[in-house]
Amino acid sequence: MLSVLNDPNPLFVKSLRARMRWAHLLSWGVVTLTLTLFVAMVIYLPMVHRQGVASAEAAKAVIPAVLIIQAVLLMFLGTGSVAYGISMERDEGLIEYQRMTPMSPTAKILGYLFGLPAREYVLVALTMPVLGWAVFVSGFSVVTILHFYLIFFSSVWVYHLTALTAGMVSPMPRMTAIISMGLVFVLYFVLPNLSRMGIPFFEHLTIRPLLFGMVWEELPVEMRMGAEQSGIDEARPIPWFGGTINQTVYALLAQGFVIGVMYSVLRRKWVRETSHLFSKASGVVAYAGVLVFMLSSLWAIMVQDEVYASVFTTRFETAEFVDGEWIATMRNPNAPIARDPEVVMALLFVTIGLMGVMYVCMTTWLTASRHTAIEGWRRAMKLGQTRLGWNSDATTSLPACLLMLGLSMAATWLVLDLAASDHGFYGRGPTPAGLVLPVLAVCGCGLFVQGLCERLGGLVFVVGLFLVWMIPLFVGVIVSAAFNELDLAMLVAMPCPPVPIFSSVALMLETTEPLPGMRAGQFVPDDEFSSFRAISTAGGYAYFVAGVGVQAWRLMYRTRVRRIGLGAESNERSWLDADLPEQTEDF
Amino acid sequence: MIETREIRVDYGEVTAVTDVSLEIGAGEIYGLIGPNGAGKTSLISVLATLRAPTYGDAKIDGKDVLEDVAGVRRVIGYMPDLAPVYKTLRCWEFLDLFARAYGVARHERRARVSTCLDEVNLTAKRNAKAGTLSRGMTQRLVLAKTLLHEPKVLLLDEPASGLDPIARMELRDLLKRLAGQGRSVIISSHILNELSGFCTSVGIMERGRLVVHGNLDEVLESVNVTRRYVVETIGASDGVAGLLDGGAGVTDVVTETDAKGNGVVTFELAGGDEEAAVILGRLVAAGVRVKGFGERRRGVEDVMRRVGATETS
Repeated sequence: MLSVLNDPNPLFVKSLRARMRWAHLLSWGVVTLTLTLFVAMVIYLPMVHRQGVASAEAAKAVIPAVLIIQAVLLMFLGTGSVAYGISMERDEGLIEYQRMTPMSPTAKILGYLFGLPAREYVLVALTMPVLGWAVFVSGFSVVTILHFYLIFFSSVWVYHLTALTAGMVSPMPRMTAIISMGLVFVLYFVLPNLSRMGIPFFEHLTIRPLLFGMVWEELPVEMRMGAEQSGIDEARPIPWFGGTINQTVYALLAQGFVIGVMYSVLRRKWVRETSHLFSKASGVVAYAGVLVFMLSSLWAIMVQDEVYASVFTTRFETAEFVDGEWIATMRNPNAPIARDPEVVMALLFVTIGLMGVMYVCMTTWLTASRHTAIEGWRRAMKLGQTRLGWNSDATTSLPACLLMLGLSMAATWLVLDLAASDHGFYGRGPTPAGLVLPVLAVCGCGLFVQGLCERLGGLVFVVGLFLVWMIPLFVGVIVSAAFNELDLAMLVAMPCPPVPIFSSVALMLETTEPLPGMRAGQFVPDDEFSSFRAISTAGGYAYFVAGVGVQAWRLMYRTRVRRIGLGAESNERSWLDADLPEQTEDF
Repeated sequence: MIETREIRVDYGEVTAVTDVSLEIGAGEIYGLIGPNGAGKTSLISVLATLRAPTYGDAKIDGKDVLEDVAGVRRVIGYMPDLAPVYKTLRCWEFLDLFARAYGVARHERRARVSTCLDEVNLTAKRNAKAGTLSRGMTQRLVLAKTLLHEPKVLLLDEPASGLDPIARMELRDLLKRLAGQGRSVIISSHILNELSGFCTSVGIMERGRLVVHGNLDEVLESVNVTRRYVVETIGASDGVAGLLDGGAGVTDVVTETDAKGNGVVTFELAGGDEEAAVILGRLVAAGVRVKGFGERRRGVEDVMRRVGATETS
């Protein structure tokens, strides 16, 4: 510790010198302090002098405002500084100097992580006296504030690491700052809404639950401004498989997981820029980690009545118009909770959707480009090896993708099994015959994506996916909207994976055994069921055949790449695709 | 000190460097010459541990560039082609950053920074922001950074680009001095003249291959490069061509007249200084009013053309 103070991280010192010249610091400091004081006084003084609120209560209202200013400084401006700083260094080539120094990758990551936003940390420190005054005057719990800061800084590091990673890996370094700010927006305002479906992972990457649920909670009721919302931004124990865990522990676990993944990516990139973001093993581990978080939430919804009720039952049964106001009537808390099989389907759709997006991203990150594969084979040949290392960047991503598919299907099966076994969704789970179609559809789509990614790679793969997936989907939507021909629309949109997967899952759930007195199949009207079954079955089988076909194409390509790598075949440009670098730069 | 064996570097199916084997001893200054796209930067990147070779071995000071990346990075100083700097840092701050990063002891840092600034003649700019320096000064600042940790091997990719003639001379002197201290230097350029005179050996790269290497004269000899001479006369150079045509080893005589009406005759001579002196004597004896006589240095393009021809044949 003493040595760190005595001889601090060089990159940290560099950023202090570059970003904290007196002139800059003074001007930024004056602006920040003025704005903070203005916000504090504009809240405090009118409450005390015009509304007659006690000064302690008025000072309490200042606290969340200052905390939000601090969040804006570190999470928006700080993230922008990190993204801009690292992307400029990468763009100008300065990062190569740093790569050459004998500092460890960890020291380099820490140097940038705390150095690039150094000015924002100082600006936050400047707002502290205002916060201290408010806490002192209001008698606000210092423990609550410290508790909040624990998650606050952990969350800040998540965002800063996200920006650092984006800057290190983005193919367009100059766009990184904008991409990172957009990412912060999505992470803050879009993804936390998954909490409403019982998946609190993304919400807890932010400070929202603690800010609104804990700090806001201490404000007088009239000052809360409707912050509490159903299923989100609340102080609550977090459902975790069969039990619950403390919200702070959950937030630290979620943020720690993301920090760990980002660190692993950055470390690989610091050691060698051309490395993939993940090794095959670390990619599967990261994927499995996200699955564990999702499964923990789904599991809890399946097995815990209170969790199910808190997410999926309406709190208020009726509303009455009394004295000019609608008054909601609370449902009877002792009434039995009716489980709705459609909830399982909705949850499965959300989960499969998230897993699908992650699968496509991870497949892209793990799959070797053509030249990486050829280089790998050339090196292997030189070293007298007949195979590529299982975890090397050059090797095929198929085993890793199959593993991810297997993990996803196992997780889905676990959820279905829980839904069927004594938890009131179904009388009995899907039969083995009922499982065949979803398994074929999922495997078919998974193999299709992996095969296409490895065969085409890069931009061609992305454009290919757009053509094969999105255009049929758009046409299907138009057909459905214009002509109300649902069967035809479904048939046309079948190449888009969510259609065959979701329809096969819906078909599977339709054919589960219902609870006594209930009908399981409620998703498709009876008069449309037979055509729905026919189209879904055709789609699932067709995708499986397509997946196997693309894999055969990939295998032929891979064999040729191996032969080129081993020097057994010439390497003519006519055979090559368009994404190769032109030999125009100075090699 | 530097040893490579059958290095190959691929960018996709494009091969940038192929089968390059080199041995450079302590105290040598090795000039790597070749046109743009020849593979110089790729080869230097491999030695600098910035790019893994597709295959082949490279060792610096006995350390493998693939196996002991950290060890290699401690003993090399690398200066890239377009040398960037932190524009908002002062010159001494820029150097101090790298002195810290390379682990120069705290009590030695200030002195090392001053010494390096002095070596590249930038002491006067010590407190100037790096972003305000001219291109040449920026190159010198980066060179100073490269010297900070007293590396045993210097890898300099086109370090003279942007330098004025005086700075180039100073660079030559500095490199000679460093080589004299037992350091090895690899310096790349696409201008042959830039390297002649102080490189102990050169290697010529063409399309990824090291087509020829050794002492500069030996290299020129091995690619059978004839010397081209120029004779300047007062007044027209009538008759000079006739005198030259009869000489042994003289070919490709071209006669021109400059704007003032003076003659300029150029010719190829397969021979050394002795043969040139004989021809000059013959011209003077024949009453030609010689104003100037000298060798026109060959550009790397000529050498490359010749190397290409040799390769083809």
